[in-house]
Amino acid sequence: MEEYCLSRKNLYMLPTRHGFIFSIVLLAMLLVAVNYNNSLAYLMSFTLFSTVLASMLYTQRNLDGLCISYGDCRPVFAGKTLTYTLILSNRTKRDRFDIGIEIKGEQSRRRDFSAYESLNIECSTTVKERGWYPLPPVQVNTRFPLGLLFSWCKPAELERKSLVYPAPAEWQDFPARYTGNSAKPGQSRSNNDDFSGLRQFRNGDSPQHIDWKTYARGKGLHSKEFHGGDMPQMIFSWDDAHGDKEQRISLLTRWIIEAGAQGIRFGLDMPGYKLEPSNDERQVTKCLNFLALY
Amino acid sequence: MSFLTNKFHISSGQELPPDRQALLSLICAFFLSISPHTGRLPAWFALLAIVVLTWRYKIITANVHQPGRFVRISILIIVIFLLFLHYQTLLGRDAGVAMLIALTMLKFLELKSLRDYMLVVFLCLFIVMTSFLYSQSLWLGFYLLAVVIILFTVMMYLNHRDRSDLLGMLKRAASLVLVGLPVAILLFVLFPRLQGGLFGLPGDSHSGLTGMSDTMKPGTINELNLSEKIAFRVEFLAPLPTAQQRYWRGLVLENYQQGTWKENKDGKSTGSLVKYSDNDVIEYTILQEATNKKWIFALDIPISKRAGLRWGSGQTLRSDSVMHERQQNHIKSALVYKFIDMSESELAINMDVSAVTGERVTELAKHLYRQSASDRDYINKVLAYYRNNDFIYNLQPPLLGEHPIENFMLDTRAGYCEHYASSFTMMMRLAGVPARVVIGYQGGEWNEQGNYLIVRQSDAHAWSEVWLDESGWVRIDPTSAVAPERIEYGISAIRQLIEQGQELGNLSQQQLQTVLTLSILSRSLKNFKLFWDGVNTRWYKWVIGFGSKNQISMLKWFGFKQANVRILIILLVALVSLVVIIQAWILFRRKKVLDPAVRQYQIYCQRLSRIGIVRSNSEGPRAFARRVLLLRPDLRELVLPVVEAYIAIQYAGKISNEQHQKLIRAVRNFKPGRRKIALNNS
Amino acid sequence: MNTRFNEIRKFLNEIVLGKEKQIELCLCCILARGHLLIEDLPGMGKTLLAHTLATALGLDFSRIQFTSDMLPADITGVSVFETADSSFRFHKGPIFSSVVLADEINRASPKAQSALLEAMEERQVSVEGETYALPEPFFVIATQNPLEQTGTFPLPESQLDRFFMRISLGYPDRKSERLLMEKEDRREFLAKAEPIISRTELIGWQQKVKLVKTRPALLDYVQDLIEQSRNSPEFSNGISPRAALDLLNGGRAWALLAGREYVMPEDIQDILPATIGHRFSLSMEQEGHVNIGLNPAHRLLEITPVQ
Repeated sequence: MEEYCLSRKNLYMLPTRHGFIFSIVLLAMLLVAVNYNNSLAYLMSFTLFSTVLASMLYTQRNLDGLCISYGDCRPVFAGKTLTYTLILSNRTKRDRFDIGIEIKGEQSRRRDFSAYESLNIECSTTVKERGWYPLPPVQVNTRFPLGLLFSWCKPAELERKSLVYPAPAEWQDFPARYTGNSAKPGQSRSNNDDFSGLRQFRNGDSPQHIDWKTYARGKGLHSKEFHGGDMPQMIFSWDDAHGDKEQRISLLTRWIIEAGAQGIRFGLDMPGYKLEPSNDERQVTKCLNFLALY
Repeated sequence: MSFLTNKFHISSGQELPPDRQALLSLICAFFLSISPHTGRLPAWFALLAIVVLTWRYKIITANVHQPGRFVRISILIIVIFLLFLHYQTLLGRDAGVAMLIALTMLKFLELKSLRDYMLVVFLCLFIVMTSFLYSQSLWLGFYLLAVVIILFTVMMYLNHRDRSDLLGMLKRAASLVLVGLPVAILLFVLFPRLQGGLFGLPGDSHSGLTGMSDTMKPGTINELNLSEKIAFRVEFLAPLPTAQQRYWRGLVLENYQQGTWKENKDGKSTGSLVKYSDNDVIEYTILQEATNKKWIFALDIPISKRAGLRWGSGQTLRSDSVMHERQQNHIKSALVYKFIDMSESELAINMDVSAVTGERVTELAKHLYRQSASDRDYINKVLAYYRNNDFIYNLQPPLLGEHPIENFMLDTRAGYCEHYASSFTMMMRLAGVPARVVIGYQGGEWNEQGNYLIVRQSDAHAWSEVWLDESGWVRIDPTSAVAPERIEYGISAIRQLIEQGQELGNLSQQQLQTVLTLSILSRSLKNFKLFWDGVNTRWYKWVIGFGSKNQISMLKWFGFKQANVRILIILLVALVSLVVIIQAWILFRRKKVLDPAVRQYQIYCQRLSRIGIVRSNSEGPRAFARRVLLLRPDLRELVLPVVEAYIAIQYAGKISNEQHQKLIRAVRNFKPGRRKIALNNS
Repeated sequence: MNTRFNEIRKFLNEIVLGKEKQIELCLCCILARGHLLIEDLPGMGKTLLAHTLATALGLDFSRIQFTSDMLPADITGVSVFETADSSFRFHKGPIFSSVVLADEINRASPKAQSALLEAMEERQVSVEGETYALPEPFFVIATQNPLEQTGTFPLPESQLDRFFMRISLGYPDRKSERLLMEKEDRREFLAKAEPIISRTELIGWQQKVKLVKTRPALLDYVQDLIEQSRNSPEFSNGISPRAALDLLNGGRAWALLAGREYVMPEDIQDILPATIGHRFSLSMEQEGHVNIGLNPAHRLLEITPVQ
């Protein structure tokens, strides 16, 4: 469901504590009216009752037609803060009063909505585990107009989920077979590879690869890129990592992030899943998606 | 139900602490609520109010401590004790209301949370209701309606987060009451009413009613003559009777003892004492004010009655029960009638002169009778005697002595209807002609605006009936011999004439006209009074007097064969649901059916808002598109077709099916991807 | 047509530097047959603007310098006794030009002011029972000193309502100022310049403005604006019906200038501050809360939703 619009079907209403007290007062009034057979006392109790009845309509109407949806929500790594946007919009020409918004993990708020107004609420929550994280349900309520009735919506079942990537482990070297003699992955390339082009310098690039000529021309730091027949391509395998399942996954995650940042061609070899090496931009996302849900 | 038990509990959510404004508005609302009661409360209440409310105000403004429980309870006990001293009881209407007001006042001392404030509002509503136990006038109704709306406004104020728009709240409260009104009226009309109270009518609900008594003693000052209070109102189906015919028969008094006329308890109580022709029958509805008595006034002479009434002696009407409230009766009367025979015992009572004292009056009667040819002639002789011997119509006659009849006939010769009726009847009996006194009302004021006749307490009258063998009981009004104006123009004219020092009985038509013509001002005042009485009458007839009888007759009018509580309830539930459904339909109807193009455009805006680009309300389509492209130049190919198609339809007027399809396609294709994921792995 | 507009724009912008928006509004004003009020300090190039405009559009131009001792006749003209044929002959005043620059209008007495404003409204002059029609097109650019300056008779609100737009030129930006210093004297340049369009062409355009479409959606928006200005407690007095019509006409002219045959809400939004700004104001109790300098028109736009 893309959007959750409030209507009769998902709104509920009950009297508040004040509403209960008021109904007792109303009953007492009616008893007096009956006992004294007093027409105006009758009329007054009926007027109060009918006003409450009318306020039922107004309470319901205050919520009817409000729509809830989620905005942009980016995947994060486990242990980090997930931020998402909740959009509450009034699609009608009616003004809304005293709308209470309850989001799990957020402070509850109350505010008015004018005609066609829409409100973006930035929410954040800390996610601990990788995988799908269902965004917390939202409940919208109101006690308008008299505070005697409380109407609320069934917490929005938008079933919006956000992907949480595994938390990356502490840096460890790439699997030994790729590191060779050098300590850093960037140095693994041999110098006699074919020069393929220049790219913007990134932290961690070997000073040997910096193209000093361009720097001297005042065009900033650039690194030479090599594309050779023995250009390393890495396939991170399940067996390269050690430890239990989660530890392995987080190590793989770390490697993927690093490889992606350095533009290394890499692939993934998991039990039952094999991803051919590539240095495509989407390679990282693909791998992380897979690991998140593994 | 999980949604009930989760963390969103009904009573959760932040309640706003009521502020000083809230307290002030509550105090105002409280005073407005109790204002109709102020005259009835003990004087020390004013002191209590001042002390308590100032104290309360200081608690908020000057940080005085709220009184502890001990202080509060001791004040409560003292107040209850004082109330008991004042009323001698704590039960009943008066003491109950005073208690309620006192408790509400004391509640002000412990106001803290929203709940306390709301409770005070509820108590105020209850106090408002109790005002109706004392008066149900139209003005009070309007005033208290306004107070109820103000109390609702206070409730809104207390519950609302944004408390700045007080006027808006007042408007909303008023419209809330207005929307509720149809249901309130339905409930009022159809809610089954009980006859009498739940626990029997409380004794204190009726008091201070004035009206005619069931005895007549000429010479006692009769306050009735001065009261402008309304006795009853009459609506006629047929043309109304002339002034001379407007005799409203109440009671027939046949026993005379110790100068006092009383009803004959053993009199015949059937309605078949008279013969009449159908041509002379007149039909009317009479709305009689509460009297705390049983008798019903009817135009001379009633011939039929509705259920719930019975016949009294001498062809008069009675109610089955004491009339604690207004009662409406539909009655038929015959203007020309003839009484049929009379029993021996009745005859004896109507000729009884044992209580008459004084030699001279007996002599007078015998003297006049001797000169007469027949009974009818004797009547004329006696009337002529009144006319020729300087009898005066006087509302404040001198007191009568030991022999009231004799004193009046021969000495004081001044009095009003009771004197004349009483003396005339006795003059008849002294000569052996059966006679009796009838009391009731005579005359009435025609209300043009309302098309009904108003009969006031001051129209109270007494006259005589004389038995003539050939025509039965004949109405003779001896007052008319002395003051024909009384019958022709009514008691108010008489009073005016007396005030101006005119001599009654021999005024020319012109003189009368000049005296009785009102100035424009007083005429319009009178007209306004009549109009207001008309409004009030309808108010009482349709609102205050509405009861189970009206409900039954209403159901019958609608064609229900049976009229019982069950039908009322079924009808009530059905109609209330119908009204609520219609109201809901009106209220929930979306004000503006969205144009399909606008709908598509909204989808586009919505998708943009999901990627964080929210259209401001005042941003036109082109300006918004420009901003979108500034933020996301990559969306150019997607945005432009949508905006162009939308503008073409909405503003350039290129409305065609093709154009709509184009827009729909463009919007369908419009799927702004998310920005690239930023991998912050630090 | 669009290219013709561009030519005019180019010409105007070459002479009046750095005032693209004001020039555009000025053109809009002419096309909508309205009159312009410029509120600015002396020496900002008001005369130059008026003169350039007249030249570019091929119209005759006259300038009336308003002074406190001015009489209505100084504007409209006088009847002079001709000894030759011993009759009165009417000598037309400076107002009988197509482009009239009424300089420092608020320095004149209300009497002189109202003579001008009446002529503006009725597009004719009545002198001693005779009515003389003013040339067509007829376009008044009135300038006014900021009200704080001494020796001024401020125009009453009812008079202000007759101006289609009020703009202010303001100081030129640094770049324009430099250009202004470097280039040859623009007045000389102007003297040599040829008109770009003819009088008849301009009248044709003025006719065309009336044909620009306004769809119900747009009229809804304009009405929303009007209602909002009248009902919202933020404003002291709402938009008058005359101002509302001006708003719509201005929107049409603006759309035409943009080469469109229909009006969009943005058109209305662009011209609203200039068209409405001088005719209504924030209400007193609101002024305390809102920045005093804020044009109430901007606030109005902000609170009125548009689809």
